[in-house]
Amino acid sequence: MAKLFRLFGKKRGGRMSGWWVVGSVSEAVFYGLLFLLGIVSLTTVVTWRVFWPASSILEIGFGFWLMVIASSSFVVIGLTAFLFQVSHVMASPELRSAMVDRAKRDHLRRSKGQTETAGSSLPDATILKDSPGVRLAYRLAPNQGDTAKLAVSAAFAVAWNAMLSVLIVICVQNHLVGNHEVFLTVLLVPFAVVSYLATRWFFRLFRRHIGVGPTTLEISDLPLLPGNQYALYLCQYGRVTFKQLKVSLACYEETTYQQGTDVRTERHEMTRKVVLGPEQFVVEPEKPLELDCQFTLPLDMMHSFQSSHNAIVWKVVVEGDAPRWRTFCRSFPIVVHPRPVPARDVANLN
Amino acid sequence: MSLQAGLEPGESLEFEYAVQCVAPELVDSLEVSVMWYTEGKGGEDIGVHLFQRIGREDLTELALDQPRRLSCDLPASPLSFEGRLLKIRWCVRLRLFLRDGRELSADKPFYLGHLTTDL
Repeated sequence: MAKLFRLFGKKRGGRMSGWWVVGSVSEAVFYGLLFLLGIVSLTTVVTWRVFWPASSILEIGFGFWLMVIASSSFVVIGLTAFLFQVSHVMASPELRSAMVDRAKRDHLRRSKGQTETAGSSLPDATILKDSPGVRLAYRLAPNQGDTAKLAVSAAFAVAWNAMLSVLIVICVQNHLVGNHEVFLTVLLVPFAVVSYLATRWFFRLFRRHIGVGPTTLEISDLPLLPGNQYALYLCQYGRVTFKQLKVSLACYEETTYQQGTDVRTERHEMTRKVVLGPEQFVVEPEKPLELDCQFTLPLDMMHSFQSSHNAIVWKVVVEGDAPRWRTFCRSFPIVVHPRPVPARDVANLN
Repeated sequence: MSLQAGLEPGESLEFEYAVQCVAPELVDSLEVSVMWYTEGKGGEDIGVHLFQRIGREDLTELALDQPRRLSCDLPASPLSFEGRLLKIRWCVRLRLFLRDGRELSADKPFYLGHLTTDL
């Protein structure tokens, strides 16, 4: 275990210098002092105002309220973090996890009357079941990747063009009054280049979004179970000829980890099973493409999994390759549960 | 600890444990848990299925070096899993808290389900 700290360079990995209890106790002491500082300052500010209202010190105004807010935040942050650190030291990870699970079970029992213990590592399928389908039971919601990109490009293009317009007006006004700002004039050139590129980027995305059109996907049941058969209904709008269009069932591992001060998420595709295609299709505005297919899940497959830093995610992926448009890919998250076990009492927590 | 290595969801997990080579008067408390944990590139997550804590008052009535048996029914998920970025593993963990502040722990892993890495 390293005992000396490097003065330069980023700490990498999870290694620690010294006993972890020393760090936790020190952190608890720090937050405890923060809490006390908040209490002392808040009490000072409030009592000064109450017992000496005529005093010019700490008069009610911007400064007074700033002090109250800052002191209150010290109290809240200090107390919360102090209790968290104390529980970290006093309780093992297993005890903390058991207590959290018990609290969740009690909450579920009180609020919804559920007596079965819910699998805490399974993603919640109730959100996916909120949207009923027209032909099949449920309509799947797409991942927001495409629309988010379009929204971001629109916002950036509008903001940048607005800023460029303001600078152009200022520059022209300066020139008209004889104040020739050379630096500002020269700066307008790269700004105009960025504006052109941003606007072009937005219109390309917009054109592709309109040309390919929205994709609607419906499924016969949720959550999915291994060994069962399911139906899919795909409706593709737009005005495009697909060289090939296919629908696949894909599974991904996702992990979130800390690298120095950065938080990174990595994804790896574990498996992919094509359920429809690839085939050539033509989509017309008056006649959207409608496809039905069925697929059977294998008996031995990993179910969906969700925890704080790790996940196993199943998705239905629709991919198309069109001559006029770049390859488009739309994914629809689904939930796969494990095969149910016979109804017996699972072990209870003490 | 001793238990069977491979189990299926819904099966009954039976195991016994004993604490040896540690003087009973040194032990402050003892925790036994049946749990899963993740390993791999991401941060470690844990989930506890069975948890039992024996405090100082109860320890005086027990002979720690004598085997004690526990059992529970295993859940349907999460199944043991070996992936490239993520591994899900099950184990029985015994944690001893000593009176001088030290902790000792021992794990006995087992495999839940029969998934292979080739999905």
